[in-house]
Amino acid sequence: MRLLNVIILLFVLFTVNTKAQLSEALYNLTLEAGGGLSRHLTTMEQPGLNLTGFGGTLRVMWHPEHLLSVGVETGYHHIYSIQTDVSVYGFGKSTAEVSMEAVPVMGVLSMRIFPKTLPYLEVKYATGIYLLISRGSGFGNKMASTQFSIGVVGAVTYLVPVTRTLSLGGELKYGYISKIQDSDLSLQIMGSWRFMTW
Amino acid sequence: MHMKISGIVIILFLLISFPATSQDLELRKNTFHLPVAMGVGEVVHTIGLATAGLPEDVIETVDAFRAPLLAYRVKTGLPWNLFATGGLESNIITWHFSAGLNWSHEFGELGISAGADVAFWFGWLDQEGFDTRMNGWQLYPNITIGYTFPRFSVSVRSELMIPFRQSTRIGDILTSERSRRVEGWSVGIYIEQPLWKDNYAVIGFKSNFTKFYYPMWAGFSTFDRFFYIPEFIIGFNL
Amino acid sequence: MKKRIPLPLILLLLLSSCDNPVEVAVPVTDPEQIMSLTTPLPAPSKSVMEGIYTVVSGKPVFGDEVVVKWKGNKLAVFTSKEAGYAVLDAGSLDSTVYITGYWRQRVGTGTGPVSIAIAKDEGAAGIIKADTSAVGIVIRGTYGVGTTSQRRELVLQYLRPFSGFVKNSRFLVIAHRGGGRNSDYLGCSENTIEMISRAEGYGADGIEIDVKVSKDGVPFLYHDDDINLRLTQKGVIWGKIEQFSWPLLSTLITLKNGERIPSLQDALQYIIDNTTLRFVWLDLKSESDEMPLVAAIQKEMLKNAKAAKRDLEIVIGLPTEDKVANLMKMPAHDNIPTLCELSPELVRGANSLVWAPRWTLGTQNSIVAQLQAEGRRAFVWTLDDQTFIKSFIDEGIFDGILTNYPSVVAYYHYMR
Repeated sequence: MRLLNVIILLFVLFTVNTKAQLSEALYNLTLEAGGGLSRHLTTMEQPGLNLTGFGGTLRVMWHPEHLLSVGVETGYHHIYSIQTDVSVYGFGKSTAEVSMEAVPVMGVLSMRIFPKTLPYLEVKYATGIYLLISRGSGFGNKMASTQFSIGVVGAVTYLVPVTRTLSLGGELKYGYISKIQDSDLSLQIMGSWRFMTW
Repeated sequence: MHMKISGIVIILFLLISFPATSQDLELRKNTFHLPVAMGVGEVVHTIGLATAGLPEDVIETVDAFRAPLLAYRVKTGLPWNLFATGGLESNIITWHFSAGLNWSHEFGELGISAGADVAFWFGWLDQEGFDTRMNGWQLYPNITIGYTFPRFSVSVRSELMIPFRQSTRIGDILTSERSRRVEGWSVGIYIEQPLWKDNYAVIGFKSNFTKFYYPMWAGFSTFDRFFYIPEFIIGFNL
Repeated sequence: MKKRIPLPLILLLLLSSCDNPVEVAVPVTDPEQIMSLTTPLPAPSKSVMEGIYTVVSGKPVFGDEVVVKWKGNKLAVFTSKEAGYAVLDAGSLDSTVYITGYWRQRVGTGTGPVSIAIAKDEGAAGIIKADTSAVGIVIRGTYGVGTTSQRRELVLQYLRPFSGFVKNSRFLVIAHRGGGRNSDYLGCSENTIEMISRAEGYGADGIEIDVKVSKDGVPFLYHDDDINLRLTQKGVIWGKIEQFSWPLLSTLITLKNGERIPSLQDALQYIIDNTTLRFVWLDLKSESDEMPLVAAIQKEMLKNAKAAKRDLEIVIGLPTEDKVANLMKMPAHDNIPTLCELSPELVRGANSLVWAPRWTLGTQNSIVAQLQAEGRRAFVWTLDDQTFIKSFIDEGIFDGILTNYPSVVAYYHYMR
């Protein structure tokens, strides 16, 4: 039932004839921010993993006159967290807490699709690095370690203008984190502010 | 598996962008990878960054290999549907110079080209006191098929990699000097479209299947097996 | 107008988008379980079998000549082709010596089962009686390629015993990372007890293992600075490995082939109890000063080895001047057995038992001879290229070679 609702919603979104109103200025810069749910997709076999958490995005995009736009993006993704009982010979028993978060820093290439009928639908391809933050605690110790990973992101963004400079919508984003060979899927509510045009 | 998903993202990017409406764009003049006949003396340049997914087995902890490959290429039109190419690729520890000749033919929106590049490359790496140098000559017979859509182009290029002469030195010792036959092949897909004015952006994805991938030369000393190395490419045509 | 991407293009991309498919088939050895019926050969019988054999049939895998040598409880065959070797079990039944196991070429992925035997009238009778005058041994049987059922003929004919030089030599074949690297696809992970248990079959007399130290001061075996998928399976802890405490490292990390990370103490005790390895080189990889912790374990384990009457040396490797300085801070540092990779002066300063220069500096015979005259030994690292292994053995005077291809070093050493 829920799936049907989503299909209907998508159908409505995709068939709205918005009478393309491309920006009157040739070039503009937008600041885009969003937040929502992030779900880690992993083949790791570890019972008790919490794979869902917050996912957020912050980016600046330059929109020239064609279909493509470019920009830079950062954000935050909860990757996973887990509490597990650990028993080690000679050390006894303890509850260990382990987690990972990721902060991307990437270049983004975005392409408007169906520009005549749906000027606000874009697909994005981003690549750059993830800063991975690992934390652990247990047996009276707390540890944290950071490392970098190459990352690739694909996303679909739909933004509808609400004022002359402000648009609101959502983004479905898939990110692949090379270091851990796993990925992250997030659904976020997005806002876009066109702060400069020329 | 993971690379599969990245591949799918790019395919999706392609698929959903197909019904884009047309505009008067000079795709034929400003694309680099698209195999179209060029006017004599006409020149197109492209620069790009390629990030490769390297086999950890080979590179182990040597971070120098992880640097992206910076590439510059130029092509110019010659008579009889021929065009000449030149290129420079580098990840700082390795430099690769190439030159090639191709012949192209068009069937409406579809273009094909066939030719060969010859390249000389050299690399040096001084890590933990190992002053390693290597150089070699490679031949790349290649074929490209491209299609011009109203607002962008898609080109698929496949090439063989023939490292026909290689020489390795560690310190003052010549450790190997050999000739090889076909040691790998690659297939790459490139999408080209305008970003602003007549400046075109390139998105590419290349799959290499090879026993020898020259940017990782220092890690291949004793292995004799095929590796799969995907490359993600972002570039601009100038 | 609606356009579609040609299907072949999509298939091409999908098919080309997978991980490196390096899989080394594990051959089925001894399918009839003959070995369970055989009697193990006594030590004198074993030595009768050892020597250089001519390959009469089976040259595509085994070359022209092979070395046959008992290493620990395995009968090993070393070839000069593609870093090839065979690891075999042997035992007697009804006056026949049955031998089964597998062969492998380490530079590539070639492998297959081996099923051979020595008939009563082709040497088995002499072997079983440990008659050292027994010559003319012929080993006959088959080998397979991969996991296919097809078998090819393998015939090895005894050519000569090892030379007097080899028999009296204390030369050491030292295997890197406990016996092999993960990139060698041996079915077990580098720097593990499982790998160490196989090292002798690969041709090693000694091993080099990498030592890190956990945040709470437990030395353990691991090579890289970080937790990564080259060395481990996907797990919940990532980052710099030395940032984590031993309880988390030892329970939450699964190594590439399913093993747990071994502590240095457990690994050394295993070597004492379960192998005949003669030399262990502890390669210090910690970013901290691990010397007091490692030296204490070394001392305890040398005591255990002596109590178990084991001919075993455990030396601490000194790869940098910082590590030498750490050694010098130790009380009675002159008595700590060490191996120094630096200059001969620092070797003398640290009173190291062994000097270990890197191979790119060449054979350095005069310096090696000087240090040998002082009662020290010299090992060279890490020598993998077959041509250079041969030339270092033929032209050099080193007392040992550290290598990723112990079977190749063993081949050229036993051929001397």
